Amino acid sequence: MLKWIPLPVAAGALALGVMAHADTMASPTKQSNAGDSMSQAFGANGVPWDHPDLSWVQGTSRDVNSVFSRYGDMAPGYSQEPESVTGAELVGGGDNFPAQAARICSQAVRPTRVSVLLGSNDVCNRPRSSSWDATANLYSIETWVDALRAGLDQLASCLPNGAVVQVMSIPRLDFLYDAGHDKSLWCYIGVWPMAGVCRIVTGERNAGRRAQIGARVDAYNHATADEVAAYDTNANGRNPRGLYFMTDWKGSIAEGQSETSIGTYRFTADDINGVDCFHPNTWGQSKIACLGWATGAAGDSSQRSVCMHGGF
Amino acid sequence: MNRSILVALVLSTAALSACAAPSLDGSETPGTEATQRDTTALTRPATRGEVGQLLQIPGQAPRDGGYTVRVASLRVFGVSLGDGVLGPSAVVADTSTWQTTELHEGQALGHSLRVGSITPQGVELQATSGAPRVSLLPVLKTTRVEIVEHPWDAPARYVGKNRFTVDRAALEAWAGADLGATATARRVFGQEGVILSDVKSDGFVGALGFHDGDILFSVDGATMAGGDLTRVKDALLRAPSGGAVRVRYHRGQASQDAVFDKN
Repeated sequence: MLKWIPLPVAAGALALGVMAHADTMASPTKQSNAGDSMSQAFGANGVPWDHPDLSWVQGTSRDVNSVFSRYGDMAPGYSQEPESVTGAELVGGGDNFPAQAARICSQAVRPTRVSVLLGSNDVCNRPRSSSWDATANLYSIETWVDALRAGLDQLASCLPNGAVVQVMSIPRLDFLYDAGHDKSLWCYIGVWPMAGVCRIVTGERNAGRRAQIGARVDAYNHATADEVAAYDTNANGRNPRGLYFMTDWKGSIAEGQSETSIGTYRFTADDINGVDCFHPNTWGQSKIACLGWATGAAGDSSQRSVCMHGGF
Repeated sequence: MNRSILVALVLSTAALSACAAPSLDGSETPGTEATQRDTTALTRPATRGEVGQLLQIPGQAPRDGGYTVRVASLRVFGVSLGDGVLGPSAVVADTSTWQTTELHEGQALGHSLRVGSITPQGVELQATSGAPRVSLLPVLKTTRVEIVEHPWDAPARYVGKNRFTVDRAALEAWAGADLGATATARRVFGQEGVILSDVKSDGFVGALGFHDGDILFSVDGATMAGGDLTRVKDALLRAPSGGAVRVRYHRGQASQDAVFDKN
Protein backbone atom coordinates (compact mmCIF):
# COMPACT_ATOMS: atom_id res chain seq x y z
CA MET A 1 0.00 0.00 0.00
CA LEU A 2 1.03 3.58 -0.47
CA LYS A 3 2.14 5.25 2.71
CA TRP A 4 2.33 8.97 3.32
CA ILE A 5 5.70 10.07 4.61
CA PRO A 6 6.61 13.74 5.06
CA LEU A 7 9.51 14.57 2.81
CA PRO A 8 11.78 15.94 5.54
CA VAL A 9 11.36 12.74 7.54
CA ALA A 10 11.95 10.49 4.57
CA ALA A 11 14.98 12.49 3.54
CA GLY A 12 16.28 12.37 7.09
CA ALA A 13 15.91 8.63 7.19
CA LEU A 14 17.81 8.24 3.93
CA ALA A 15 20.53 10.59 5.12
CA LEU A 16 20.96 8.57 8.29
CA GLY A 17 21.09 5.38 6.29
CA VAL A 18 18.49 3.79 8.53
CA MET A 19 16.53 0.80 7.38
CA ALA A 20 12.87 1.38 8.09
CA HIS A 21 11.69 -2.20 8.62
CA ALA A 22 13.95 -4.97 9.82
CA ASP A 23 11.35 -7.70 9.40
CA THR A 24 8.43 -8.45 7.15
CA MET A 25 5.07 -7.55 8.59
CA ALA A 26 4.04 -10.03 11.27
CA SER A 27 1.00 -12.20 10.60
CA PRO A 28 -2.17 -10.90 12.24
CA THR A 29 -2.66 -13.14 15.27
CA LYS A 30 -3.87 -10.83 17.99
CA GLN A 31 -4.88 -7.18 18.30
CA SER A 32 -5.11 -4.66 21.05
CA ASN A 33 -6.07 -1.02 21.06
CA ALA A 34 -5.70 2.22 22.95
CA GLY A 35 -8.77 4.39 22.84
CA ASP A 36 -11.66 6.21 24.44
CA SER A 37 -15.45 6.14 24.21
CA MET A 38 -15.32 6.07 20.40
CA SER A 39 -13.53 2.73 20.58
CA GLN A 40 -15.91 1.59 23.33
CA ALA A 41 -18.83 2.54 21.03
CA PHE A 42 -20.42 4.64 23.73
CA GLY A 43 -24.10 5.15 22.95
CA ALA A 44 -23.80 3.56 19.51
CA ASN A 45 -27.23 1.93 19.79
CA GLY A 46 -28.86 4.88 21.52
CA VAL A 47 -28.38 3.52 25.03
CA PRO A 48 -25.89 5.73 26.89
CA TRP A 49 -23.29 3.15 27.94
CA ASP A 50 -20.38 1.35 26.35
CA HIS A 51 -21.26 -1.12 23.60
CA PRO A 52 -17.93 -2.65 22.59
CA ASP A 53 -19.68 -5.17 20.34
CA LEU A 54 -20.51 -2.19 18.11
CA SER A 55 -17.02 -0.68 18.13
CA TRP A 56 -15.17 0.15 14.93
CA VAL A 57 -12.07 -1.63 16.20
CA GLN A 58 -13.15 -4.36 18.64
CA GLY A 59 -16.75 -4.93 17.58
CA THR A 60 -18.22 -8.33 16.84
CA SER A 61 -21.49 -7.18 15.27
CA ARG A 62 -21.80 -7.61 11.52
CA ASP A 63 -23.62 -4.27 11.49
CA VAL A 64 -20.26 -2.61 11.99
CA ASN A 65 -17.80 -5.03 10.35
CA SER A 66 -15.03 -3.92 12.67
CA VAL A 67 -11.31 -4.17 12.16
CA PHE A 68 -11.40 -7.21 14.48
CA SER A 69 -14.11 -8.90 12.39
CA ARG A 70 -12.25 -8.25 9.15
CA TYR A 71 -9.00 -9.65 10.49
CA GLY A 72 -10.93 -12.60 11.91
CA ASP A 73 -12.28 -13.36 8.46
CA MET A 74 -8.80 -13.58 6.99
CA ALA A 75 -6.91 -15.05 9.97
CA PRO A 76 -8.66 -17.91 11.81
CA GLY A 77 -7.98 -17.80 15.54
CA TYR A 78 -7.39 -14.06 15.50
CA SER A 79 -7.92 -12.74 19.04
CA GLN A 80 -8.06 -9.43 20.84
CA GLU A 81 -7.38 -7.88 24.24
CA PRO A 82 -8.66 -4.29 24.14
CA GLU A 83 -7.38 -1.61 26.51
CA SER A 84 -9.58 1.35 25.51
CA VAL A 85 -11.38 3.18 28.32
CA THR A 86 -14.31 5.55 28.05
CA GLY A 87 -13.23 9.02 29.10
CA ALA A 88 -9.55 8.52 28.32
CA GLU A 89 -7.35 11.29 26.96
CA LEU A 90 -4.17 10.98 24.93
CA VAL A 91 -2.28 13.32 27.28
CA GLY A 92 -3.95 13.54 30.67
CA GLY A 93 -5.41 11.33 33.38
CA GLY A 94 -4.83 7.79 34.54
CA ASP A 95 -5.88 6.08 31.30
CA ASN A 96 -3.90 8.23 28.88
CA PHE A 97 -2.01 6.82 25.92
CA PRO A 98 1.20 6.05 27.82
CA ALA A 99 -0.85 4.24 30.51
CA GLN A 100 -2.79 2.22 27.94
CA ALA A 101 0.43 1.45 26.05
CA ALA A 102 1.94 0.16 29.30
CA ARG A 103 -1.08 -2.14 29.74
CA ILE A 104 -0.69 -3.43 26.18
CA CYS A 105 2.97 -4.12 26.92
CA SER A 106 2.03 -6.04 30.07
CA GLN A 107 -0.29 -8.44 28.23
CA ALA A 108 0.84 -12.06 28.53
CA VAL A 109 0.65 -12.51 24.75
CA ARG A 110 1.62 -9.31 23.04
CA PRO A 111 -0.37 -8.29 19.99
CA THR A 112 0.89 -8.04 16.42
CA ARG A 113 -1.67 -5.34 15.59
CA VAL A 114 -2.36 -2.25 17.72
CA SER A 115 -4.84 0.51 16.89
CA VAL A 116 -4.82 3.89 18.60
CA LEU A 117 -7.66 6.41 18.57
CA LEU A 118 -7.26 8.98 21.32
CA GLY A 119 -7.40 12.73 21.63
CA SER A 120 -10.98 13.98 21.37
CA ASN A 121 -11.30 14.18 25.16
CA ASP A 122 -8.09 16.19 25.30
CA VAL A 123 -10.01 18.92 23.51
CA CYS A 124 -13.43 18.41 25.10
CA ASN A 125 -12.13 18.32 28.68
CA ARG A 126 -10.35 21.66 28.49
CA PRO A 127 -12.10 24.77 29.79
CA ARG A 128 -13.37 27.31 27.33
CA SER A 129 -11.04 30.19 26.66
CA SER A 130 -11.87 33.72 27.72
CA SER A 131 -9.48 35.25 25.21
CA TRP A 132 -9.77 35.90 21.47
CA ASP A 133 -7.95 32.61 20.96
CA ALA A 134 -10.45 29.79 21.45
CA THR A 135 -7.57 27.30 21.69
CA ALA A 136 -5.72 29.10 24.49
CA ASN A 137 -6.52 26.43 27.10
CA LEU A 138 -5.85 23.43 24.85
CA TYR A 139 -2.74 21.31 25.17
CA SER A 140 0.10 22.65 23.07
CA ILE A 141 1.36 20.63 20.12
CA GLU A 142 4.54 20.06 22.10
CA THR A 143 2.57 18.58 24.99
CA TRP A 144 0.54 16.40 22.61
CA VAL A 145 3.65 15.07 20.89
CA ASP A 146 5.50 14.32 24.12
CA ALA A 147 2.62 12.23 25.46
CA LEU A 148 2.30 10.49 22.09
CA ARG A 149 6.00 9.64 22.18
CA ALA A 150 5.69 8.29 25.71
CA GLY A 151 3.19 5.75 24.39
CA LEU A 152 4.84 4.97 21.06
CA ASP A 153 8.23 4.46 22.73
CA GLN A 154 6.75 1.69 24.84
CA LEU A 155 5.04 -0.02 21.91
CA ALA A 156 8.21 0.23 19.81
CA SER A 157 10.14 -1.56 22.53
CA CYS A 158 7.66 -4.24 23.62
CA LEU A 159 5.72 -5.45 20.58
CA PRO A 160 6.88 -8.49 18.58
CA ASN A 161 9.08 -8.04 15.54
CA GLY A 162 7.05 -7.06 12.50
CA ALA A 163 4.13 -5.76 14.58
CA VAL A 164 1.97 -2.96 13.19
CA VAL A 165 0.81 0.11 15.11
CA GLN A 166 -1.89 2.21 13.46
CA VAL A 167 -2.54 5.64 14.98
CA MET A 168 -5.80 7.08 13.76
CA SER A 169 -6.48 10.78 13.36
CA ILE A 170 -9.18 12.32 15.55
CA PRO A 171 -12.41 13.80 14.24
CA ARG A 172 -12.99 17.50 13.74
CA LEU A 173 -15.13 18.30 16.77
CA ASP A 174 -16.61 21.33 15.05
CA PHE A 175 -18.01 18.91 12.46
CA LEU A 176 -19.57 16.83 15.24
CA TYR A 177 -21.17 20.04 16.48
CA ASP A 178 -22.59 20.60 13.00
CA ALA A 179 -23.89 17.03 12.90
CA GLY A 180 -25.63 17.36 16.27
CA HIS A 181 -26.97 20.77 15.38
CA ASP A 182 -28.49 19.30 12.23
CA LYS A 183 -29.88 16.30 14.10
CA SER A 184 -32.36 18.13 16.30
CA LEU A 185 -33.07 21.27 18.25
CA TRP A 186 -33.17 19.16 21.43
CA CYS A 187 -29.49 18.25 20.98
CA TYR A 188 -28.17 21.76 21.39
CA ILE A 189 -30.73 23.31 23.70
CA GLY A 190 -31.29 20.25 25.89
CA VAL A 191 -28.85 17.37 25.76
CA TRP A 192 -25.53 19.17 25.39
CA PRO A 193 -25.93 21.75 28.16
CA MET A 194 -27.69 19.33 30.53
CA ALA A 195 -25.07 16.61 30.17
CA GLY A 196 -22.11 18.98 29.70
CA VAL A 197 -21.05 17.31 26.46
CA CYS A 198 -17.84 18.80 25.01
CA ARG A 199 -18.73 22.32 26.08
CA ILE A 200 -15.62 23.87 24.56
CA VAL A 201 -17.34 23.23 21.22
CA THR A 202 -21.03 22.69 21.94
CA GLY A 203 -21.16 25.76 24.18
CA GLU A 204 -19.50 27.94 21.58
CA ARG A 205 -21.97 29.90 19.48
CA ASN A 206 -19.32 31.57 17.34
CA ALA A 207 -18.61 29.44 14.27
CA GLY A 208 -15.24 31.14 13.79
CA ARG A 209 -14.13 30.11 17.26
CA ARG A 210 -15.36 26.55 16.68
CA ALA A 211 -13.30 26.57 13.49
CA GLN A 212 -10.26 27.59 15.56
CA ILE A 213 -10.79 24.42 17.61
CA GLY A 214 -11.13 22.46 14.37
CA ALA A 215 -7.88 23.91 13.09
CA ARG A 216 -6.13 22.80 16.26
CA VAL A 217 -7.49 19.29 15.70
CA ASP A 218 -5.93 19.42 12.23
CA ALA A 219 -2.66 20.51 13.81
CA TYR A 220 -2.79 17.61 16.29
CA ASN A 221 -3.41 15.22 13.40
CA HIS A 222 -0.51 16.67 11.42
CA ALA A 223 1.77 16.34 14.42
CA THR A 224 0.65 12.75 14.95
CA ALA A 225 1.34 11.89 11.31
CA ASP A 226 4.81 13.43 11.48
CA GLU A 227 5.62 11.41 14.59
CA VAL A 228 4.23 8.20 13.13
CA ALA A 229 6.35 8.68 10.02
CA ALA A 230 9.42 9.32 12.13
CA TYR A 231 8.84 6.05 14.00
CA ASP A 232 8.02 4.08 10.87
CA THR A 233 11.23 5.13 9.15
CA ASN A 234 13.18 5.15 12.42
CA ALA A 235 14.34 8.62 11.43
CA ASN A 236 14.07 9.52 15.11
CA GLY A 237 16.03 6.47 16.27
CA ARG A 238 13.17 5.40 18.52
CA ASN A 239 12.19 2.31 16.52
CA PRO A 240 15.45 0.40 16.11
CA ARG A 241 13.67 -2.94 15.63
CA GLY A 242 11.84 -1.59 12.63
CA LEU A 243 8.22 -2.14 13.64
CA TYR A 244 5.54 -0.76 11.36
CA PHE A 245 3.83 2.51 12.26
CA MET A 246 1.06 3.97 10.13
CA THR A 247 -1.76 6.49 10.25
CA ASP A 248 -4.86 7.30 8.25
CA TRP A 249 -4.02 11.01 8.09
CA LYS A 250 -2.93 12.24 4.67
CA GLY A 251 -3.60 15.92 5.19
CA SER A 252 -6.48 18.22 6.03
CA ILE A 253 -9.60 19.15 4.12
CA ALA A 254 -7.97 22.51 3.43
CA GLU A 255 -5.18 20.56 1.75
CA GLY A 256 -7.60 18.80 -0.54
CA GLN A 257 -8.29 15.64 1.43
CA SER A 258 -11.84 14.43 2.03
CA GLU A 259 -13.02 11.21 3.62
CA THR A 260 -9.47 9.90 3.53
CA SER A 261 -9.18 9.79 7.30
CA ILE A 262 -11.31 10.18 10.42
CA GLY A 263 -10.01 13.73 10.65
CA THR A 264 -11.32 14.61 7.20
CA TYR A 265 -14.63 12.80 7.44
CA ARG A 266 -17.57 15.15 7.90
CA PHE A 267 -19.86 13.30 10.27
CA THR A 268 -23.52 13.94 9.49
CA ALA A 269 -26.68 13.74 11.58
CA ASP A 270 -27.14 10.18 10.30
CA ASP A 271 -23.75 9.14 11.71
CA ILE A 272 -24.29 10.14 15.35
CA ASN A 273 -26.57 8.73 18.01
CA GLY A 274 -29.71 10.46 19.22
CA VAL A 275 -28.99 10.19 22.91
CA ASP A 276 -25.94 12.43 23.37
CA CYS A 277 -25.92 13.75 19.79
CA PHE A 278 -22.14 13.47 19.70
CA HIS A 279 -20.87 9.90 19.57
CA PRO A 280 -21.04 7.82 16.39
CA ASN A 281 -23.98 5.46 16.10
CA THR A 282 -23.66 2.01 14.57
CA TRP A 283 -23.60 3.51 11.09
CA GLY A 284 -20.93 6.03 12.12
CA GLN A 285 -18.89 3.24 13.73
CA SER A 286 -19.03 1.29 10.48
CA LYS A 287 -17.60 4.33 8.65
CA ILE A 288 -14.71 4.54 11.10
CA ALA A 289 -14.15 0.79 10.73
CA CYS A 290 -14.00 1.28 6.99
CA LEU A 291 -11.42 4.05 7.29
CA GLY A 292 -9.41 2.08 9.83
CA TRP A 293 -9.35 -1.01 7.65
CA ALA A 294 -8.74 0.72 4.33
CA THR A 295 -5.81 2.74 5.70
CA GLY A 296 -4.39 -0.12 7.78
CA ALA A 297 -1.91 -2.89 7.17
CA ALA A 298 -4.23 -5.07 5.12
CA GLY A 299 -6.26 -2.43 3.35
CA ASP A 300 -6.05 -0.37 0.23
CA SER A 301 -7.59 2.91 -0.81
CA SER A 302 -10.00 1.35 -3.29
CA GLN A 303 -11.77 -0.40 -0.41
CA ARG A 304 -12.35 2.93 1.26
CA SER A 305 -14.50 4.39 -1.47
CA VAL A 306 -16.68 1.25 -1.42
CA CYS A 307 -17.21 0.86 2.29
CA MET A 308 -17.60 4.56 3.00
CA HIS A 309 -20.63 4.61 0.75
CA GLY A 310 -22.62 1.71 2.05
CA GLY A 311 -20.75 -1.41 1.01
CA PHE A 312 -18.74 -3.61 3.34
CA MET B 1 22.98 21.14 53.67
CA ASN B 2 21.13 18.93 56.11
CA ARG B 3 20.08 15.84 54.20
CA SER B 4 17.38 14.98 56.70
CA ILE B 5 15.72 18.32 56.17
CA LEU B 6 16.24 18.64 52.48
CA VAL B 7 13.74 17.09 50.16
CA ALA B 8 16.15 16.24 47.43
CA LEU B 9 15.31 16.97 43.87
CA VAL B 10 17.68 15.09 41.66
CA LEU B 11 18.00 17.03 38.47
CA SER B 12 21.10 15.71 36.87
CA THR B 13 20.25 13.07 34.32
CA ALA B 14 23.87 12.02 34.44
CA ALA B 15 23.42 11.17 38.07
CA LEU B 16 20.53 8.94 37.11
CA SER B 17 22.50 6.78 34.75
CA ALA B 18 22.90 3.94 37.20
CA CYS B 19 19.14 3.63 37.59
CA ALA B 20 17.69 4.68 34.30
CA ALA B 21 18.75 4.34 30.71
CA PRO B 22 19.02 7.66 28.92
CA SER B 23 16.98 8.19 25.80
CA LEU B 24 17.59 10.46 22.87
CA ASP B 25 16.43 13.60 24.58
CA GLY B 26 18.34 12.88 27.72
CA SER B 27 15.32 11.71 29.63
CA GLU B 28 14.81 8.24 31.00
CA THR B 29 13.58 5.36 28.96
CA PRO B 30 9.87 5.62 29.62
CA GLY B 31 7.46 3.08 30.92
CA THR B 32 9.58 0.03 31.29
CA GLU B 33 8.81 -2.60 33.87
CA ALA B 34 12.27 -2.00 35.25
CA THR B 35 11.41 1.63 35.89
CA GLN B 36 8.32 0.60 37.82
CA ARG B 37 10.25 -1.85 39.95
CA ASP B 38 12.96 0.72 40.60
CA THR B 39 10.40 3.27 41.72
CA THR B 40 8.66 0.85 44.04
CA ALA B 41 11.95 -0.17 45.57
CA LEU B 42 12.86 3.44 46.26
CA THR B 43 10.29 4.02 48.97
CA ARG B 44 11.38 4.52 52.56
CA PRO B 45 9.99 5.98 55.78
CA ALA B 46 10.27 9.76 55.99
CA THR B 47 11.98 11.45 58.86
CA ARG B 48 10.05 14.12 60.73
CA GLY B 49 12.28 16.81 59.27
CA GLU B 50 11.41 15.81 55.73
CA VAL B 51 7.72 16.48 56.22
CA GLY B 52 6.90 20.07 55.47
CA GLN B 53 3.14 20.04 55.67
CA LEU B 54 1.33 17.54 57.83
CA LEU B 55 -1.69 15.71 56.48
CA GLN B 56 -4.81 17.46 57.70
CA ILE B 57 -7.97 15.41 57.28
CA PRO B 58 -10.93 17.67 58.03
CA GLY B 59 -12.22 17.14 61.55
CA GLN B 60 -9.05 15.45 62.77
CA ALA B 61 -5.77 16.47 64.32
CA PRO B 62 -2.86 16.68 61.88
CA ARG B 63 -1.24 13.29 61.27
CA ASP B 64 2.15 13.21 62.89
CA GLY B 65 3.57 9.95 61.59
CA GLY B 66 3.41 7.29 58.91
CA TYR B 67 4.91 9.31 56.06
CA THR B 68 7.03 7.76 53.33
CA VAL B 69 9.44 9.13 50.77
CA ARG B 70 8.95 7.79 47.27
CA VAL B 71 11.39 8.45 44.48
CA ALA B 72 9.14 9.27 41.58
CA SER B 73 10.15 9.81 37.96
CA LEU B 74 8.16 12.80 36.77
CA ARG B 75 7.90 13.72 33.11
CA VAL B 76 6.62 17.15 32.18
CA PHE B 77 4.61 16.65 29.02
CA GLY B 78 4.19 20.39 28.64
CA VAL B 79 3.00 23.66 30.09
CA SER B 80 0.12 25.98 29.28
CA LEU B 81 0.34 29.66 30.05
CA GLY B 82 -3.45 29.96 30.15
CA ASP B 83 -5.87 32.41 28.64
CA GLY B 84 -5.31 35.30 31.00
CA VAL B 85 -8.09 34.18 33.33
CA LEU B 86 -6.84 30.69 34.06
CA GLY B 87 -3.27 30.78 35.25
CA PRO B 88 -0.38 28.71 33.96
CA SER B 89 -0.48 24.95 34.40
CA ALA B 90 1.68 21.97 33.62
CA VAL B 91 0.85 18.37 32.78
CA VAL B 92 3.18 16.10 34.71
CA ALA B 93 3.17 12.30 34.45
CA ASP B 94 4.44 9.89 37.07
CA THR B 95 6.12 7.32 34.86
CA SER B 96 5.44 4.43 37.28
CA THR B 97 1.78 4.50 36.18
CA TRP B 98 1.81 7.35 33.63
CA GLN B 99 -1.03 8.97 35.55
CA THR B 100 -0.81 12.71 35.11
CA THR B 101 -1.39 15.61 37.46
CA GLU B 102 -2.22 19.10 36.29
CA LEU B 103 -0.07 21.34 38.43
CA HIS B 104 -0.82 24.99 39.13
CA GLU B 105 1.29 27.64 40.78
CA GLY B 106 1.12 27.41 44.55
CA GLN B 107 -0.15 23.82 44.55
CA ALA B 108 1.34 21.33 47.00
CA LEU B 109 3.10 18.27 45.62
CA GLY B 110 3.07 15.76 48.44
CA HIS B 111 4.00 16.98 51.90
CA SER B 112 7.35 18.54 51.09
CA LEU B 113 7.07 20.42 47.82
CA ARG B 114 5.10 23.28 46.39
CA VAL B 115 4.87 24.50 42.81
CA GLY B 116 6.50 27.88 42.35
CA SER B 117 6.32 29.51 38.96
CA ILE B 118 5.39 27.70 35.75
CA THR B 119 7.20 28.99 32.68
CA PRO B 120 7.78 27.73 29.13
CA GLN B 121 10.98 26.17 30.47
CA GLY B 122 9.25 24.05 33.07
CA VAL B 123 7.92 23.81 36.59
CA GLU B 124 9.73 25.39 39.51
CA LEU B 125 9.47 23.36 42.70
CA GLN B 126 10.08 24.77 46.13
CA ALA B 127 10.71 22.74 49.26
CA THR B 128 8.30 23.42 52.11
CA SER B 129 10.43 21.65 54.67
CA GLY B 130 13.65 22.95 56.07
CA ALA B 131 15.93 25.18 54.06
CA PRO B 132 14.40 26.78 50.98
CA ARG B 133 15.37 25.08 47.79
CA VAL B 134 14.23 25.84 44.28
CA SER B 135 14.59 23.41 41.42
CA LEU B 136 13.19 23.06 37.94
CA LEU B 137 11.36 20.19 36.30
CA PRO B 138 12.27 20.88 32.67
CA VAL B 139 9.65 20.48 29.96
CA LEU B 140 9.87 17.23 27.95
CA LYS B 141 12.29 15.69 30.40
CA THR B 142 11.97 13.04 33.07
CA THR B 143 13.29 13.99 36.47
CA ARG B 144 13.59 11.98 39.64
CA VAL B 145 11.93 13.64 42.59
CA GLU B 146 11.60 12.55 46.19
CA ILE B 147 7.96 12.98 47.16
CA VAL B 148 6.75 12.70 50.74
CA GLU B 149 3.40 10.90 50.89
CA HIS B 150 1.00 9.53 53.46
CA PRO B 151 -1.11 6.40 52.86
CA TRP B 152 -4.15 8.35 54.03
CA ASP B 153 -3.72 11.24 51.59
CA ALA B 154 -6.94 10.09 49.96
CA PRO B 155 -9.47 7.37 50.81
CA ALA B 156 -9.23 5.95 47.29
CA ARG B 157 -6.46 5.66 44.70
CA TYR B 158 -7.08 5.37 40.98
CA VAL B 159 -5.55 2.28 39.42
CA GLY B 160 -6.88 2.65 35.88
CA LYS B 161 -9.84 1.51 33.79
CA ASN B 162 -12.31 3.24 36.12
CA ARG B 163 -11.19 1.23 39.15
CA PHE B 164 -10.10 2.60 42.50
CA THR B 165 -8.47 0.87 45.42
CA VAL B 166 -9.91 1.85 48.79
CA ASP B 167 -7.71 1.36 51.82
CA ARG B 168 -9.84 0.48 54.84
CA ALA B 169 -7.74 2.46 57.33
CA ALA B 170 -7.63 5.51 55.07
CA LEU B 171 -11.38 5.30 54.53
CA GLU B 172 -12.05 5.18 58.26
CA ALA B 173 -9.73 8.13 58.76
CA TRP B 174 -11.74 10.11 56.22
CA ALA B 175 -15.11 8.98 57.53
CA GLY B 176 -15.52 12.07 59.68
CA ALA B 177 -14.71 14.52 56.90
CA ASP B 178 -17.49 16.64 55.47
CA LEU B 179 -18.82 15.54 52.11
CA GLY B 180 -17.55 18.83 50.71
CA ALA B 181 -19.87 19.03 47.71
CA THR B 182 -23.32 20.23 46.76
CA ALA B 183 -25.72 17.95 44.92
CA THR B 184 -28.58 19.20 42.76
CA ALA B 185 -31.14 17.04 41.01
CA ARG B 186 -30.42 16.61 37.30
CA ARG B 187 -32.05 14.37 34.69
CA VAL B 188 -29.72 13.28 31.90
CA PHE B 189 -30.29 10.71 29.16
CA GLY B 190 -33.60 9.82 30.76
CA GLN B 191 -32.01 9.00 34.12
CA GLU B 192 -32.44 10.80 37.41
CA GLY B 193 -29.26 11.82 39.14
CA VAL B 194 -27.51 14.63 40.96
CA ILE B 195 -24.98 17.05 39.55
CA LEU B 196 -22.06 18.00 41.79
CA SER B 197 -20.91 21.54 42.41
CA ASP B 198 -18.62 23.27 44.90
CA VAL B 199 -16.60 20.06 45.19
CA LYS B 200 -13.80 20.69 47.69
CA SER B 201 -10.52 18.86 47.27
CA ASP B 202 -10.33 18.23 51.04
CA GLY B 203 -13.89 16.95 51.24
CA PHE B 204 -14.86 13.29 51.14
CA VAL B 205 -16.46 13.42 47.68
CA GLY B 206 -13.55 15.32 46.14
CA ALA B 207 -11.03 13.01 47.79
CA LEU B 208 -12.75 10.09 46.03
CA GLY B 209 -11.92 11.71 42.72
CA PHE B 210 -15.23 13.32 41.77
CA HIS B 211 -15.31 16.77 40.18
CA ASP B 212 -17.61 19.71 39.70
CA GLY B 213 -20.05 18.83 36.93
CA ASP B 214 -20.03 15.07 37.53
CA ILE B 215 -23.54 13.62 37.56
CA LEU B 216 -24.05 10.68 39.93
CA PHE B 217 -26.84 8.27 38.97
CA SER B 218 -26.58 5.36 41.37
CA VAL B 219 -24.53 3.58 44.02
CA ASP B 220 -24.60 -0.20 43.80
CA GLY B 221 -27.78 0.10 41.79
CA ALA B 222 -29.60 2.37 44.26
CA THR B 223 -30.59 5.65 42.66
CA MET B 224 -28.98 8.88 43.73
CA ALA B 225 -32.17 10.75 42.92
CA GLY B 226 -33.00 12.86 45.93
CA GLY B 227 -29.49 14.10 46.25
CA ASP B 228 -28.19 12.53 49.46
CA LEU B 229 -24.43 12.16 48.92
CA THR B 230 -24.01 10.33 52.22
CA ARG B 231 -25.15 7.22 50.32
CA VAL B 232 -21.75 7.11 48.65
CA LYS B 233 -19.87 7.33 51.93
CA ASP B 234 -22.17 4.85 53.68
CA ALA B 235 -21.85 2.29 50.88
CA LEU B 236 -18.07 2.45 51.06
CA LEU B 237 -18.00 2.18 54.84
CA ARG B 238 -20.45 -0.74 54.85
CA ALA B 239 -18.64 -2.73 52.16
CA PRO B 240 -16.62 -5.66 53.55
CA SER B 241 -12.93 -6.09 52.88
CA GLY B 242 -12.59 -7.62 49.44
CA GLY B 243 -15.92 -6.12 48.41
CA ALA B 244 -16.58 -3.47 45.81
CA VAL B 245 -18.86 -0.48 45.42
CA ARG B 246 -20.03 0.58 41.98
CA VAL B 247 -20.90 4.23 41.32
CA ARG B 248 -22.62 4.96 38.02
CA TYR B 249 -21.91 8.51 36.89
CA HIS B 250 -21.61 10.83 33.92
CA ARG B 251 -18.61 13.03 33.22
CA GLY B 252 -18.09 15.18 30.18
CA GLN B 253 -18.75 13.14 27.09
CA ALA B 254 -19.84 9.81 28.56
CA SER B 255 -21.44 7.86 31.38
CA GLN B 256 -19.58 5.07 33.08
CA ASP B 257 -19.20 2.96 36.23
CA ALA B 258 -16.48 3.68 38.76
CA VAL B 259 -15.62 0.60 40.81
CA PHE B 260 -14.14 1.04 44.28
CA ASP B 261 -12.40 -2.13 45.45
CA LYS B 262 -12.02 -2.21 49.21
CA ASN B 263 -9.02 -4.00 50.63
